Amino acid sequence: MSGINPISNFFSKTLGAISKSKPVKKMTKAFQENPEGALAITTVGSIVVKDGIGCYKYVTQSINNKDIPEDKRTFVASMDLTNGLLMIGTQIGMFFLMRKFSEPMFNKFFKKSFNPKIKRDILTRLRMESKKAGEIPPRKLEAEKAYSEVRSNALSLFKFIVDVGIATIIGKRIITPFIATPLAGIVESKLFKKDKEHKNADGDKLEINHSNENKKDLDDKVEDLVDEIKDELKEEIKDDLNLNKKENDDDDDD
Amino acid sequence: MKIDKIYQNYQEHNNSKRIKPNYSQVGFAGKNPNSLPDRITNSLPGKKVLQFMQEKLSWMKGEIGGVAMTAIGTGAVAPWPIAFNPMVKPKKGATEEEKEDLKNTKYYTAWRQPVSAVLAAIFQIGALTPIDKFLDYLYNTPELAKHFDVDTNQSVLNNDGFVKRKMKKEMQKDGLSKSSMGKANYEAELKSRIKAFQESQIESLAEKIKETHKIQVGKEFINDKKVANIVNEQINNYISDAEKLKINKEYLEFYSKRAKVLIENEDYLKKIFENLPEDPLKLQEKLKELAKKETNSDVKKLIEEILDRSADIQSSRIKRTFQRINKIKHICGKDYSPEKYMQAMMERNGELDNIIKNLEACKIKDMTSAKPSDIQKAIQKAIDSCHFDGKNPLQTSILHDAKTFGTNKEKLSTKIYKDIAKGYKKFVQKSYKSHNQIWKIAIGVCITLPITCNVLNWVYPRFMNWTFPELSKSKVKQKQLENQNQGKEVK
Repeated sequence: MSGINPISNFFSKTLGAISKSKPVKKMTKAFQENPEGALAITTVGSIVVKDGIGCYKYVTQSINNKDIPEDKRTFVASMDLTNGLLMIGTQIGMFFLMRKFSEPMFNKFFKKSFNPKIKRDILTRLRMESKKAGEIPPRKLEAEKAYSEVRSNALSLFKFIVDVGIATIIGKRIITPFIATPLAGIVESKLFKKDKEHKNADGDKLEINHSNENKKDLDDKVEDLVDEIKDELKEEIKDDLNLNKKENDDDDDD
Repeated sequence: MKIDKIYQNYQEHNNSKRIKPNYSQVGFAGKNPNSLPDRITNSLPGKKVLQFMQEKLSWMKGEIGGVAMTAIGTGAVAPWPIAFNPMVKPKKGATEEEKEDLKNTKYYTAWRQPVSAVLAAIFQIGALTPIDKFLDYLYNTPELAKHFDVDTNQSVLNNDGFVKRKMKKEMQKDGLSKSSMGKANYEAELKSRIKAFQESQIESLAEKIKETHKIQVGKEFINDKKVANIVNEQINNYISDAEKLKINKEYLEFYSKRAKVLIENEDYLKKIFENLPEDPLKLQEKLKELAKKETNSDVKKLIEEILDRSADIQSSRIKRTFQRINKIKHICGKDYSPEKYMQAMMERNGELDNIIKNLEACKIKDMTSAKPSDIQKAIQKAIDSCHFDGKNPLQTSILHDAKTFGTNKEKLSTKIYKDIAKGYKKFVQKSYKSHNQIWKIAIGVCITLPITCNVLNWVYPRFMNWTFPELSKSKVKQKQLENQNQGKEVK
């Protein structure tokens, strides 16, 4: 094991053990059998997981972030929530929609480069060049294979950029915010309605929201209240006891 | 059939000038500096766009590209719909302060996007590149790769990124750098070394497969069933090549009619295509004139078909027309007849059908119980099916110069074993891709995403307070506070 550092060794052993687990092996099999489909599913899966977790984190952080002005905090949080959910939906939708349309789009954009006429011309041109250079002209079969390779490489890159680009730019960044911003207002009014009503009705500083500090304040207040009630109860019990004692004493006197 | 004569003539005519080309040759030392796909790209219209995609955008295909596109969308596109969304309006009867406040809230929220994009680019793209290198290192170094699922172990045939870095280090050791060699020469030398290294790995694996008919990776072996599948896929490729050499049934009638036109008008065509100008543009003009004047509709169509091709290859098409006439005459002997020609084309297709049938028979049928001996038999049969002795003129005329078929059995055997090694490379790359995706998603979700979120949470309000303090303040709130304070003061 000369030259292998312990960190690399640790990672290879740990990841190696995970890589032999059933779910990972299943995924590897999916990639072996249908790499394009498996890549699409993992890409969408990655989007869902990342945006889902991102959405959860952004929402909880925005609610608790005292650095954001208080009156904007609930709107930012609602925006994060609606954004997150819509992002997942629009991206999945756009990604699979684009998978159907990106190839026809490629054919349209690159129709000057890839069409039957050009294919024939290229073959003739290659033959001409080869003859001039004193070489064996490539056979139609070889030239066609190479032509298909050029096209499929360009198509594969174009498809990836367009599918992911449109899903992440159009779906996630144009459609989502247009729907999310007005929806955020509705979400805000529904989710944070009670807080606002409470605030408006009381007018005092008791705010019930999800911030840890406020929860702590509330807990303290509840504790104080419980203590107060306890004291009052104690007093009452004492009074009762005193009263009973007095009554008993009076009875004894009789 | 006299097809052999055509091939003999063709060979005799060209033999003196011929140099066997290596179309896959790279680097700056050879006669053909580019591979066949590169040469095709260079001659396509729109080559600049295609070259730009190939050279500058190929890095985008993968997780890094996904993150980069997301960051572009977040930073450059997302703020606009948030800040200027016409669907978000102030309430009816809202005061000027409330309207202003809503506008500020929208701007305040919109600014979060570019801040988030910059942080995502720094943390996520910044992390993915070294992660990629690290994963390559783990899966390509034999001592480390042995811990992973054998299907993903790339220590026998290293992946492109790993080889590139390895060759760069080697060149550095040899004292070769961009500054000492010039960028173009450095790149060409690097490309050449990568190619040579990968070729040597393929050759070495192909020899081992030839000996054992198994694929050994470290101390483990790839499952025989999977090796059998790789062999069958390769045989399918050869079948597809043979299919492509066949004359499509739909065109048989067309070729037959065209042959009739060419033979019947041979002398006339020679006459009209005599003394044509060499300059492509002048030639095009001349052809246009000929097409305009032409009264024979078949010949007119022929000229128009030539005119339909690019100006620079029109002269070649005229030469090709005469080559076709010679070919038809040779196929049919001196006495051309449409029936004879049709029969020759059918025979050609029949010969290819036989090859396809033989190749189909080579395939391993029972995959579940496939053993090395079955794999060996299948490969041997495939070698025999792709071999032709050069004595059968019909076969020779069809299969000459096609890489899949050959007259030298030993060379063919080496090629087929190399093809299987290349098939294994594709298999291991696909398998590794699954792990690469899983680890990157896991790292993204568990490490880089939480870091980005937390950093954004810290940076965003501070950035806004620092750069746009007016957006951070609420005018309505301020007004309420002022009113409250005034009330208190009054009291």
